[in-house]
Amino acid sequence: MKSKFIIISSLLLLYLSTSLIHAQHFTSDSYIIDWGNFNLTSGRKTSVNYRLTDTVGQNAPGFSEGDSLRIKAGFQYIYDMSRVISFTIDKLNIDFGTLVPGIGVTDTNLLTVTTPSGRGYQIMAQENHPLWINSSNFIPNATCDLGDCTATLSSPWTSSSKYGFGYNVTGIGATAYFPGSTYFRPFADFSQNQESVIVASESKPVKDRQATVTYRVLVSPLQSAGNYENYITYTLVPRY
Amino acid sequence: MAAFNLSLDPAQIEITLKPNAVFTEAYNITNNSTSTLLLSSSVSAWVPADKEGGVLYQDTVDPPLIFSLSNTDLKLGQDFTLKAGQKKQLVLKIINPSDEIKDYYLTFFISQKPYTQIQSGHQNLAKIGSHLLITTGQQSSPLSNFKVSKLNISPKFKDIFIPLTISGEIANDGQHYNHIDGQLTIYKNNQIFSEHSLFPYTVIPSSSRLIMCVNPDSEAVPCRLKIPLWPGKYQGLITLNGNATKYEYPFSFFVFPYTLTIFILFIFFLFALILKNKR
Repeated sequence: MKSKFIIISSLLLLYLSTSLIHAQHFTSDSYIIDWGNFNLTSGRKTSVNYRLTDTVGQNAPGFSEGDSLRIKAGFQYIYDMSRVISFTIDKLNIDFGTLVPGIGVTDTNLLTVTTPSGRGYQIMAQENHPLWINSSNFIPNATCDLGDCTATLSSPWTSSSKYGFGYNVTGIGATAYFPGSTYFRPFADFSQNQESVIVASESKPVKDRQATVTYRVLVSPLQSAGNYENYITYTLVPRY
Repeated sequence: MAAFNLSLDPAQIEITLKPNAVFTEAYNITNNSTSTLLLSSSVSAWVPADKEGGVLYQDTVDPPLIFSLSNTDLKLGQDFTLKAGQKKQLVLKIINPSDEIKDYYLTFFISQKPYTQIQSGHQNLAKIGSHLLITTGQQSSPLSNFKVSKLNISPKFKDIFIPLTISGEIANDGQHYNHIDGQLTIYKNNQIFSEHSLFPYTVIPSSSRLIMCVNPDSEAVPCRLKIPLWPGKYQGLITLNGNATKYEYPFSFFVFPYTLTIFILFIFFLFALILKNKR
């Protein structure tokens, strides 16, 4: 009886003296990974006099070096709260409806960007070709009021006699490229081997930063009837 | 109407690959929109465009590095769909078959493709990218060769009640990219007046980045000296670590009590005027 009591007590003591093992289970379409290490705690702590950022429980944080490679894994080189970059476009179809010669028609897109800690962003844009039915029947790209705007230079476009298709961007990141809401420029044209150009950028990290793209199309009375189409590709990359 | 809402993690990786090294990186892609997206992946090279980390995509010669996806069900460049709210992990595999000592700057892109019944769709499209900064060669930790290429202390008239901003550029004269690792120290009467850590921007060879300081939230902010500043001579020192030898860039400036002097002179002339009128 006494020996049973000792065995049970020993087992109970052993059980109580052990601590939980924190493991992690990852799944994807291609992989299942069971990983034996996970942060016990991490984050930003503040008091009146101190600020502390910490990661507790990570077995191999920071710099890693193997026989043939070197990795700087997301630790506190700079305090990386987030490594994610995200991009939202509110709608993908822009429909100008039936165009009336001499009357400019506009539509808008709202672009929203979130960047990782410590990094800014740049948004670039490019059209596949001008708005066209086919390559010989197209609405020309905008040249603006003075005929001086290009894929990389915006200028005022309010005239109802300067026909074309162009765009303006407003928002904190776009002021360097479009000084005001009347400043337009044509899209960089992929069919003319023009590279995608920056339409908005910031050097600081942002969260849910918005930029509004206003498309404007103005056709002449001589423009042939038909369905004119193209598509714009927006590219978001972080600043390195 | 369909919308695009995609996130990519991580947004940048920096690696050194020795000859014949194989490296894999898992990218998490999340479709946060309410519609299915047709996507594909690719890798493109870039060059630095400015001093603020901007990039420029050009027609460049393909690097000797071999890129592929380790996913069993997907190849690099192959289309895949991501349903609304779905996440997918793409594992990018990079092989360095050469023993060349070089840097490569690339972006791993996830590109949207038209997801319409009509293949000649006219919807707008989006791409999102994550940078890859790769050094190849035998060295595991190449030394940097940073120097201060420009320095400006503004405003020109340095007053005790006007905050001073120290700006400039740090250039990389080395062969490989590296991070700025340095401090800005201001001395007054041979004692430390203020000390700032420089923001650890990545600087690519033959290019430069703006000098910025780190604030308590680890964000990049202009390097500013708080007011009031005692009048007199100040000495500054920018120290850059990571080079073969410690790099120091000394400078000095003088703070004069312009506003205080103008105020005293104004009071003096005011009294003088009052006294003159009384006589």
